[in-house]
Amino acid sequence: MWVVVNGSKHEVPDALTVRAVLDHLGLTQGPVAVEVNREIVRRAEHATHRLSDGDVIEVVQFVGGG
Amino acid sequence: MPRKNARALVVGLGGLGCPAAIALARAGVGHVALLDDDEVDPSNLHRQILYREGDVGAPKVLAAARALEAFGGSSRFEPIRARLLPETALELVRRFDVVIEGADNFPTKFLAADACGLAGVPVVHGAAVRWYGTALAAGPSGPCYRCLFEDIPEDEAPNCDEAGVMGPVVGVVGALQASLALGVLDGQAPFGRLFTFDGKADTLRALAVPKRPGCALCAGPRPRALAREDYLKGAACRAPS
Repeated sequence: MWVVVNGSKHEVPDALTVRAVLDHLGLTQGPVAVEVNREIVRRAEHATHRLSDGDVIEVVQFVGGG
Repeated sequence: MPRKNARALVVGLGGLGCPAAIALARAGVGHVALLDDDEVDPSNLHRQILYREGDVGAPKVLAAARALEAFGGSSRFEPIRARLLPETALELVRRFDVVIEGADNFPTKFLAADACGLAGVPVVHGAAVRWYGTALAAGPSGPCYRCLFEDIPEDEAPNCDEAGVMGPVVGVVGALQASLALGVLDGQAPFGRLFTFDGKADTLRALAVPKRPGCALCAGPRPRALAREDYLKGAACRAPS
């Protein structure tokens, strides 16, 4: 299936979870906040929320520096 | 509100707070309070642009106020040499029209979000690590910092001394925070958009942040007070000793 992550189209295996897509794309450095189709998916649900073809995903790194 | 009558609080006079405070002062914000309990360290100088080598060891808020006053202009500066604390945060933020949060640790970021949410004061959050930074303005009715980031991370999230921060990245994000704060003071509502800046890819993205049902801060009944134990997690971002 195709998903859009931070504005770029990616082909990924069907029905991956949010966490699996993050792993697939190498977005594994530290915690992230994720929106799927403009709704926030809580961190606790990243490992279970399954994605569908055409989903639009935004991944924001959760950083604490200043 | 005329800017000369406006009151802004900058929480954290580090890489983000320095450029933000400069921009607020030069935009004519009448009263700019500066909150930080730290001293200037040599490792700060590449990105904390209010300080010079001679300031090393001085309290940041005093060095910052001195540098801002040296520019001239009509702003008044109020240095507050303290940490933001659950016991006093609500009372403090109520005195201001807008808060810029550029703290270097998660507990202070969440405390600023909660205090401003409870007090009904707009807050502009900023954060940066390495080549990546984010900014988000939150209005009194949300969406808020907790809609997106929920709670202090249990797992390791990078902060600045562990990971390092590129000077230009905090310059971009701090200036963007000031721009959002001026929007608030000018009566616009620049709320609910998260900006991400990637200094390696040279991309700035704006992302609409929806209110999250069940958000502990802005959905449903709000807590009335701030409890110290809610902020006793995570490590501060300090020079390694």
